[in-house]
Amino acid sequence: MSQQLKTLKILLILTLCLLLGLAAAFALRPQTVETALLNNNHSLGGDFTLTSAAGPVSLADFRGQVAVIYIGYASCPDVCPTALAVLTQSLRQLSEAERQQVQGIFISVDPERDTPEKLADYSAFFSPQIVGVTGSRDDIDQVVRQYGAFYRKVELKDSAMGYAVDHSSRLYLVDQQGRLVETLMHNTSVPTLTSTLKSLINSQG
Amino acid sequence: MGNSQVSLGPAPIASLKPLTLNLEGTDTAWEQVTADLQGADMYMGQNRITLNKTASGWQGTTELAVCTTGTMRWRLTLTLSQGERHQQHLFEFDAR
Repeated sequence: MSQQLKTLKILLILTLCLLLGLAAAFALRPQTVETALLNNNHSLGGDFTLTSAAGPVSLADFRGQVAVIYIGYASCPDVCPTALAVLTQSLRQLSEAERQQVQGIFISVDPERDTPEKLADYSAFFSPQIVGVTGSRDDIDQVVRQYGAFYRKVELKDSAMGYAVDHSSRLYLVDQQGRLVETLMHNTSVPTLTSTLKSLINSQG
Repeated sequence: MGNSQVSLGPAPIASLKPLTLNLEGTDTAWEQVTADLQGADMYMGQNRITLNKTASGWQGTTELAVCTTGTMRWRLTLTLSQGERHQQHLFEFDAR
């Protein structure tokens, strides 16, 4: 009898071990890694609210207009302001009525230096149709993720600037319904941006 | 991919300058070729293009859409697709 009990005990222990093994194998199974093999831009874009010198600005405020978003920072010492210059020149190519249909949004990823007031001056230097906005680090990171962009602070030794910010340089075109419809390269020419803006404005009817 | 040649230029490769990517000598059965440019060590935003078929291969125009202060290592991933069949090739290079 005691021999039978002993056998039963061993069997129970073995069964328990087997179950534990199965549970461990299940918990440690290889996870499916999402490999976005092909172009998958449809989920990018979306609304956000940041702060301008005049108060909060939401992308949703510009429904019915075409929005052109640029993500950068005002102290950028290099070529970055050229994208804003291209936008400015392109806005000048539009008729007054067309220009009123376009809203430029300059998002600074450097809120420590770019206060809303400083951004207002900086944006006004380019065009009254461009609003400068920034926000908390969390809010900025959220927008950057939404638009598939990137930035990082880089400490600069031996420079009065202290640090620079490496960042994506693209023009994001958002239609009248708030959808990201096109992402233009930094090197987009004024005629290309102008014709893209015109076609977006007119697609509204 | 067989005996193929990939070129990206003009040299030296620099950020925010137009770049032409050529892929020559591939198997003609491929239906689509996409190129993705990423930082070798970190995510650098979405930088993916679809190449156009040419008489001798595939070609596309792109740029390293990052305003940067120093040299960075980039990784080019070419994905060749034909239905459910995919082939990926990785190349790394430095650019300013």
